[in-house]
Amino acid sequence: MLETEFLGRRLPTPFFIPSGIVGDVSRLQELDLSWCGLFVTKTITLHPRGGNEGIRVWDLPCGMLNSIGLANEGVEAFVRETLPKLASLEMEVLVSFSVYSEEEIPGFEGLFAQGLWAVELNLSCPNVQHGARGLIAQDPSLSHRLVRAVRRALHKDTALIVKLSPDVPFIEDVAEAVISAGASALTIANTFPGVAVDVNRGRFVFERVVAGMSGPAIHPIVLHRIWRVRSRVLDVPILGVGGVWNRDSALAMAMAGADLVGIGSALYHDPAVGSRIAREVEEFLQRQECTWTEVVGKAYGDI
Amino acid sequence: MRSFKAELVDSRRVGDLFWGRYRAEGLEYLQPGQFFQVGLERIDMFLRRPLSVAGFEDGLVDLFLRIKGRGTRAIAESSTLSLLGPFGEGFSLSGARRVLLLAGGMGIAPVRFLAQRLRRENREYRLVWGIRDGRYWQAFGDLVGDCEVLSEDGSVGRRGDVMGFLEEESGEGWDLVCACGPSGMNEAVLGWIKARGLRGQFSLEAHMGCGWGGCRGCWVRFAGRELYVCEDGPVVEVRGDA
Repeated sequence: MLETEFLGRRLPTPFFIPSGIVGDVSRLQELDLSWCGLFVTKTITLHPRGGNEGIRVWDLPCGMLNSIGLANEGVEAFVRETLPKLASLEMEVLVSFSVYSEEEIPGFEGLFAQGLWAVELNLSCPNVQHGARGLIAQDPSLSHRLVRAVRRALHKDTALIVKLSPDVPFIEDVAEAVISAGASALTIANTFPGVAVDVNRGRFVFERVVAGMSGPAIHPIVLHRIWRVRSRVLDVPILGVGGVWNRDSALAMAMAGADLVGIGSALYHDPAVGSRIAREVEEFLQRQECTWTEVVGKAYGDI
Repeated sequence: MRSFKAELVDSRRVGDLFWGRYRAEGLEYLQPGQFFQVGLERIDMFLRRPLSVAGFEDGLVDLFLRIKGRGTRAIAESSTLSLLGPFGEGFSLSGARRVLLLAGGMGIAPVRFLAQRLRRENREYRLVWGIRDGRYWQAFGDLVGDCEVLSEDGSVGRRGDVMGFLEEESGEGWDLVCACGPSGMNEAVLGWIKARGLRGQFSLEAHMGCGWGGCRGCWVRFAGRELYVCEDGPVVEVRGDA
């Protein structure tokens, strides 16, 4: 009943682990993954990144801030060491990567040559510096150019999913800019920028001051971004991510227009939350005698 | 990954310091140095708190904590906790006959569990505990048992701290030094064991997201290494070069 089709593939469930939640793939074995239809890797960059200095995570009422800084092994080591480990997973894997400029794209040829069914281009990590202009995903024309260049470098059978930032006034403009450049699906969204102060120390918590906020507190704001995009763009699948922590927040995201629903930070609160949500959503669908596909976009009525 | 429901059976609070003893059904074995990600079944305490186990006997888990904010207060006030874990590498006693234990402040938590285990195995150890003031002794002293206390205000034991103790201690005769304390103390102990060619184990702490190696949040730099405390630690071994 939870089975769903996504970019031509059958997924056993519409739930996925978004990028950044499990940075070390060998730790996936720690988790019960029976609920999970798709695993998205930590975002891979051209060069290895150690990540940010200082405190990296901070608890909030109903959420958290992180300043990990895309700690990753770099694309070469990823292809050589991590990708083979992912091949043994009994679920679909989506590789997430980030480029800072068009000049970096050739460095990913080794990854693109792997015959992947899809990749996720992350244009929206708030924890790394892209220069004075902020995030790439805050600039529709820059996003368009980069997505077009990546699209050209990818094998034609590899779908390109683009991860957008929620921290923009008109996310639908960025959505249209990347779709016209060849994006097959959109991940909405990434974390919101936030700041914390440690009052005991009298200092900002994070070395970079700004960190990314996730968790239940952002859920309604992410639904707003999904609504803005879904009201304009009808035919492109959306991977919804942001603050899902129980059955109703997952259903709400789908009804607001997300085809797939990510369960991320909530796994830190309770690693069993994914299987609970999947079970309860399935019971809901049985009671309502409907399928997941019928639930997606239901909040808009007949349009 | 396992999760245990823990029921409070005994507790004590002295100012901001809290000791809780919990019955955790099904929990059979714990290694001194391991920690739990301690949570409550409410979404407004979102991230769990990594707490070193301060003791484990007859199926009862001791936790020591200092109430620093929202999360630690909620844990201290709750009669049931969710314990996710246990996680991490604990202390490794292989080949150690005489062990020097050094604790600073709340660093007594894993060190007390280690002392409990050493006592049970009839191994020789000496425990030195540096505290700021008498509150620490009132809150945890009878649970720690035999030890040498150094207090900054001189209210309990001798006046002084662990760093002062090291200046007077030759280090001879110890196979292993196990330490847990604030970063300043850890650095001092590190320099001390390195200069003497001793084997040391340090229990480190960090702000944590998950506790199981997912989030890459608990990054620290220690002894010239970059570490994720939950996976590479919390106990890390350092060998002196002398």
